[in-house]
Amino acid sequence: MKKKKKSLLFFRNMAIVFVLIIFILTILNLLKKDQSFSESENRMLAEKPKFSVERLIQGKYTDNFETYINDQFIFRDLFVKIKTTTDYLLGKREENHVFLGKKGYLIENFTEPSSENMEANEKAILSFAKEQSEIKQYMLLSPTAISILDDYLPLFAKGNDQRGAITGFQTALEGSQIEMIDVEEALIENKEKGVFYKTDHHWTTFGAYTAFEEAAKVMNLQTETISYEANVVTYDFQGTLSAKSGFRTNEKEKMEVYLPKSGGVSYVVNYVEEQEKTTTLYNIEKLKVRDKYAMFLDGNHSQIKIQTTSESGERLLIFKDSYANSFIQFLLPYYREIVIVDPRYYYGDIRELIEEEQISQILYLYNANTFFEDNTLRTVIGS
Amino acid sequence: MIFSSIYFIFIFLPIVLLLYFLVPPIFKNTVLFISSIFFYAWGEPIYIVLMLFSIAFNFMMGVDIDNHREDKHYQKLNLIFTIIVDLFVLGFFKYYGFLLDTVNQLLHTNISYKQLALPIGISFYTFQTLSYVIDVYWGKVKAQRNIINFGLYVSMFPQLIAGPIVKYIDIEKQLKNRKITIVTIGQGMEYFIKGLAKKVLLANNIGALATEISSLSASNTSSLTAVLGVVAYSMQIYFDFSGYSDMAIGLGKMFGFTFMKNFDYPYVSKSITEFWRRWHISLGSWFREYVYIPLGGNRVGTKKHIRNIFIVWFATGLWHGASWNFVLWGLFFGVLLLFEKYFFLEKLQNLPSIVAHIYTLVCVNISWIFFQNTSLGQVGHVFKMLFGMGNGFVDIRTLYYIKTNFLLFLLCFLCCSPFLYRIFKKITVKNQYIGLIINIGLFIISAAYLVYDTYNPFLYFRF
Amino acid sequence: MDRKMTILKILMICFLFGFLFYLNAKDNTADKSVSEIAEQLEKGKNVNTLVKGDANSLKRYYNLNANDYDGFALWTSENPMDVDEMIVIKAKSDEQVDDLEDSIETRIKTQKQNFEGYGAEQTALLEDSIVDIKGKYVFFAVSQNASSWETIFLKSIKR
Repeated sequence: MKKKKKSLLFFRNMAIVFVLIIFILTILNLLKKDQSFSESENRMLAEKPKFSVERLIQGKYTDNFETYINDQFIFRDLFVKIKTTTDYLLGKREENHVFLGKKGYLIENFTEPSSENMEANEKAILSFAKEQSEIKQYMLLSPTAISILDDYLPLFAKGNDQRGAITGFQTALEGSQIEMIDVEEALIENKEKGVFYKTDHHWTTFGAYTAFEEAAKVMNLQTETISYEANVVTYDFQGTLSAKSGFRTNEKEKMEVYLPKSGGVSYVVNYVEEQEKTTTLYNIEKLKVRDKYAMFLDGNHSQIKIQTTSESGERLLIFKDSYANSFIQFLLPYYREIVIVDPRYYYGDIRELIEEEQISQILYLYNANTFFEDNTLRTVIGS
Repeated sequence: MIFSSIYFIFIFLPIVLLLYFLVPPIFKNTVLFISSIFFYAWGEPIYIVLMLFSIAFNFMMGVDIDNHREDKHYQKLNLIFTIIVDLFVLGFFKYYGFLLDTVNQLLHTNISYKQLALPIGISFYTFQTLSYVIDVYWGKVKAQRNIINFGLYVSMFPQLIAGPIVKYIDIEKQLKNRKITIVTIGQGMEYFIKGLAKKVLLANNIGALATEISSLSASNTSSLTAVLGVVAYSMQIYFDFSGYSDMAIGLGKMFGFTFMKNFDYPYVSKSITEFWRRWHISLGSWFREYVYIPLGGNRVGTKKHIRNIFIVWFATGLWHGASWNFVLWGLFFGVLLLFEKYFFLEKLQNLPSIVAHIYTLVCVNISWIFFQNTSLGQVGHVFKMLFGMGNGFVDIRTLYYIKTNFLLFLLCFLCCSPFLYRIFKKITVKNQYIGLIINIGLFIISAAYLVYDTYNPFLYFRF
Repeated sequence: MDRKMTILKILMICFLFGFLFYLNAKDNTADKSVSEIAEQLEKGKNVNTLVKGDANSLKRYYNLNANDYDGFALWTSENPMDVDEMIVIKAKSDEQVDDLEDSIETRIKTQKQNFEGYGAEQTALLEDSIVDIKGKYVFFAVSQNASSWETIFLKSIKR
């Protein structure tokens, strides 16, 4: 009899406890004000959806409402942490295509590109290269941590074949007007010194500099007279990969800026569409927000023109993704003008631009993860 | 709407519970019925019309057939009429495309059709209305004269979307009269949390592995990886389905309804015959009651018995999906059941139980290969991978999968048998606070996974 | 009593078939390419006074990448003081349709801001602009002739 009584007591308590939990959380949710931005996820959170009979019938209203409830749930960040911790305890070492690697590194996996995308990009670049054959053209397609730090991956993990994709692409460009800059060896040699961030998908400034030294050889840039000094601008950088994976959300690392000790030049940076000019490559304001990497060249812009006091007569056009942002400073001493175009936002006439600015060299500067997914470059250079 | 979601647990459920307990007894069924309509309409704003039609139509026909007890001929005619309409609706939405595809393939024609979306739960509520109308015809039960009560029977949100399939006789008395105490609510909660954890923590996670493995190319699939994929899928489908049934039973209990259990630890079975007494019990029961027994069951000659088994398993397979692989899946079991019945069930019972377990599990896992893959080509591919024609017997990816999913697999295997639950029961009897804490823990962690559903950090690959 | 029953049964069946018919008829879009639709739209009133846009214009005005979608056709006014505009985009998936709707809303908002305070006519036209979502097709038009253009669009995607 005692067993039965205990059992009944247990169920009575279950009822009380859970009715309380559900009702308390529901009331807290009703009282809580909606949040518009999530720091940890670096995105806008859903807001209350607009009602209309049309949307209701299409099922859109209910879908949006469900997203809204989830996004605005109280203690959301805590719940996300519980989820990722449970996953980790169960043995998961990969979340959203990001591996939790050794030595504190978060490593993003490579996505196998579709062959259509690859071919379309190859075609566009080769044809543009031929068209602009009077201009010296270079390409720096950098491998990312998934290739360089592959021995830091968790036990038995293997990334998708980024090296193969890069080699394949380089082969396709053989014999064309474009000279390839291969930075793989240099990055591997220096990997212990930290060429990639631990919580971000970008290379560190040191990594960018290592790649630059390789590029200088191919592009015939004299590096002897110029030296740099590394300066830490923050110890509080937390990159995109910890947001994407939910791992290591407390980890912070340092971000450096390389200032020329000798041989530097002065310059003016012109953000063309915004019609703003400044004399620094760095937007210090960005160090106050989460996305600190945007300090370099203020993040994403459709077009940037940099005029320098360099004695060289060369003018460089760069097609890029964000890897270039921390790399460009090393090119300043060698070019009178550098025009930077982000094909995602640029909608002008690139041929006109090349003529107007009298471009004498072109550089494609991408990381392999972004490059193979890209479908905007070919609309800009296409005919 | 689905049970395993934040908006269901923290918005819909508390509101309905509150309304239900505040309202006087005569209105309780109305509250539940309207909530169920809302529940269905939330996910199906257009097909709600279809369900309301089904309720109205079957209600009307039930009363009509009941009113003509003296006229057997009239009753039979109207029963057939009702069955035809009900099956027509089911067939139209679920099997129309399948039928035309098959006709096109066989006759090399090219009849086109518009693919309409499948109304959620139509297979479940159609079977419920059919069971009702047939039972009225057989005189087993009187027609329900209160349309709210009938509507509630058809559309009750706990079992509407994914069962268990409730026969009207099993619930008739409960519609009028049910006892709800704080203990029954607690029991309902326990069932609900058990089901929620099964679905969200076990099924979803092992399912992610099953999905990933099934999308690997041949050159990346070693034999052992393929095995992991098949086992992962059997874990997924079991915990997903039985988890959902547990949640349904738990929710029913919170409102005073007792549904029969739908799963009884099927993976501990020692024969396929036993397996089908433990898997999707309400469906097996429905087919036995309304198809197998009326056809004569096993009380007819051997030839007719075999015919009956084939009809039932053909239909069972087809019920699961409008595609030939499901029929294959059903017939696979039909054949095994016949073999067991006529040849080796006795021999099986004399063998050491480990052999019987292995035999059953191997057959069941093979059956899931037919269930999961819609084309013969895909099925063939899986078998090829299993026999090492992909990337050898074992590769580094296999090791990676084992290492990162070991604990998860272990938990799944443990939860396949009543072992873990019995230990839990013993612990709660000794010290109920531990039991409470475990349940709270499972609930919080499950909620965490549900909140994570919309975790979508800004995809920056275009940076 | 029986007669009433029989009538009810017939009504029920009629209702069922009516409903099934309605389901088949609504959202009945043919699978036309955008270029086919564009051909029809070109014949619309005054469409020939507009400038046909390319991938660059799509990016510029809508911040959309042409390669992400299954075709588009865009017409804008030559004179920057006019707001006449029309666009048809075919999405590759249903998820994209929501995002496209958002992009169009943003476009309308931006344009309204551009003419705020001094462009009463333009603002009025923007208020009356038409946005249509049919299956995977998203249609947007601003103009005095927007309704007639919409009619051509709807006709061109009918089965």
